Amino acid sequence: MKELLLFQVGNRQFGLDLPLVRSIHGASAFFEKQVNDGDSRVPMVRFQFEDMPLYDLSAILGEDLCRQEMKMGSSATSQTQPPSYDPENKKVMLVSVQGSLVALKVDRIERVVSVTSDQIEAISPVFKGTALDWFPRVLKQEKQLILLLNPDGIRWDAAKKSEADALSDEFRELENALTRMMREEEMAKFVLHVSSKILEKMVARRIGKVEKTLRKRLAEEEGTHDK
Amino acid sequence: MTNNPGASLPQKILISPALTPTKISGRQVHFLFSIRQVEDILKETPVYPVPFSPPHVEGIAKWRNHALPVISLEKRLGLDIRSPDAEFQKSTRLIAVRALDPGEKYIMLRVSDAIRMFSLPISYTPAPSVGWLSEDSLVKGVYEWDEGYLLVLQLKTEEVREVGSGK
Repeated sequence: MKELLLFQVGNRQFGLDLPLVRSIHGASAFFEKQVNDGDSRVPMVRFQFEDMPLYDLSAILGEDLCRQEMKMGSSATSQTQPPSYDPENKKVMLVSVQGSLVALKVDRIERVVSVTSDQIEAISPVFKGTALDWFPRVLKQEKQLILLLNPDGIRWDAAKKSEADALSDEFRELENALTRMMREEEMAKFVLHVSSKILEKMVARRIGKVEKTLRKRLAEEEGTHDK
Repeated sequence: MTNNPGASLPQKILISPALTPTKISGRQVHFLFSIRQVEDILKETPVYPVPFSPPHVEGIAKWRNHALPVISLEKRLGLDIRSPDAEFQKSTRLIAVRALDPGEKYIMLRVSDAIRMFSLPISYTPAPSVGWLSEDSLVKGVYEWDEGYLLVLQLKTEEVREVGSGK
């Protein structure tokens, strides 16, 4: 048997492995503190002298689910009006992810359920990217399907996005610096020159490989004829 | 005489008009499925959206104690789709289709409620030009028949997942 904690975001239920949950608190117990490290896109919260990233699932998932439901008309989750939650009653779960803590803000904590492993199924590989990182498994209940959140996937996904953003920031800075240093025409010439050099090298490398393979084949064929 | 009585039965296919308002040269686009591919046709089955999924994946639906992905073929192929309103779900069906992957894998497709069964042979010819359809590994063949175009699909997980160029 496996224990899962069910929680609500908007009008949708999600689940989480209970052993990962360290504690649950009223959202008002937290105050957000922006820090200036690399991952500053995710707000940080301080709780009991410890800083940790806070993922507001009500905002992150709520927005995406609304968009998804709009794209397909009504769905399993929009048969009823979304409940309105008092912001004061929102909860924050502190979840352990590879030795560090992550805070997840949700609309409501539902209950703990005990399930057997055959009630849990890996989500189809048709899903990919963030969807698969965040929700790799689903709980099959008699009347509904409940997506199971993978907090490790959230961190991993955030790290990937942060890395991509940092890279695009670097390119933007380089572009700005070059624009300041050179005229547009000169920069275009420079980019073309560098690109052609890179292309030349790549082609030469490929040709070198082809040549090597052909030489090897010729040597083998010659060896066969000698025999 | 034959040892396989089923062998003499005519092969049956299902044809469903695409849920697209757009007509190609004034002709309706249809999807063709072999009856062996289709395990079930379901009406008003709940679909649970999965956050961050690609636009052509509606979500997951429960079928025979499995959670299957629900796909919009029109969106996957870059075709326009009728804007979903309250009637949209009622006028559509979900079909559970066997995917061409190793092992028994299924996917769900949202199709029109005007899905019909035909016995082969039906009269069709390969479509001379399919410029309206971007080159896509999901499409196995495009044919013309009495009622418009027929698309035969290669329903593999990999092909269903990937969104080709121009989408």
